[in-house]
Amino acid sequence: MSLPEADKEARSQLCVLVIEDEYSIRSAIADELRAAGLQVVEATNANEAMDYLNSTGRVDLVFTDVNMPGAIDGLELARWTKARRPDVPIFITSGTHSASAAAGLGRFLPKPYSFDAVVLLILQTLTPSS
Amino acid sequence: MTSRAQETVLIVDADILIRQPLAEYLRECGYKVVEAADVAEAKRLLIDASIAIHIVLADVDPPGPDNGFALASWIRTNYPDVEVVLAGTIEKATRSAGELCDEGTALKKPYEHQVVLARIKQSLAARERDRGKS
Repeated sequence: MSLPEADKEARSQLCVLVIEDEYSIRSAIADELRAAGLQVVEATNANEAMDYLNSTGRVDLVFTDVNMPGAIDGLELARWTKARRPDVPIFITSGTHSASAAAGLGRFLPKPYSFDAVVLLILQTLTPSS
Repeated sequence: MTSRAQETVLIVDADILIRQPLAEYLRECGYKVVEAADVAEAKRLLIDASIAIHIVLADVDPPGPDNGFALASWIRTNYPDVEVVLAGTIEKATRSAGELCDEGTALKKPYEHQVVLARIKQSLAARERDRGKS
């Protein structure tokens, strides 16, 4: 994928929080986002994401899976995030839920998704000139 | 460029407030870093032939049925070429990361490991304060 080089400096200051319990998906999409010049924080479940979000305001976009082990799922995490950080865009992905589950919470991306397409969507959201 | 070029470090720690700053630090030192929250996930990563892991930096006591010692023993048996660093404290983990950073591919350290330690301690303290309020 050929990504625009514009805003490269701005991109390097942007942080995406990826929440995904399946390591192969998590590390793959995280690597793609890093390759696009973004900073990435990897959380393995919603509780970790809440710990991170509580500890620092350093996040510009949340990209979460829905079905994960732990007390809350990705939809609940999206509600929690939206209530506290309404300025932060939320992308929600699932292989079992439909787009209606994410209504009012964020943008829905069905699984399986194209890594290139997700990276491009995230770049377009964070740096509209991309 | 050192012999550590292209090496991959696996960080095993259940606490994102510890794991993430260590991972970010080592990435800035030139390593590829993969992260696991427990021993089971760490084993899956090591078994995955598509990820060549060279160094494992693991918490001694992650959650789950296996601890860091069991993981180290399993790695020694199954992947004897993989270097294992067990850390029982945040201080040890950050010091070990600092030593790895000295050997990393980056031309110079992005910052000293004490900075990582201070960040981790600040985050953990903030979390404790928040929990105390609720």
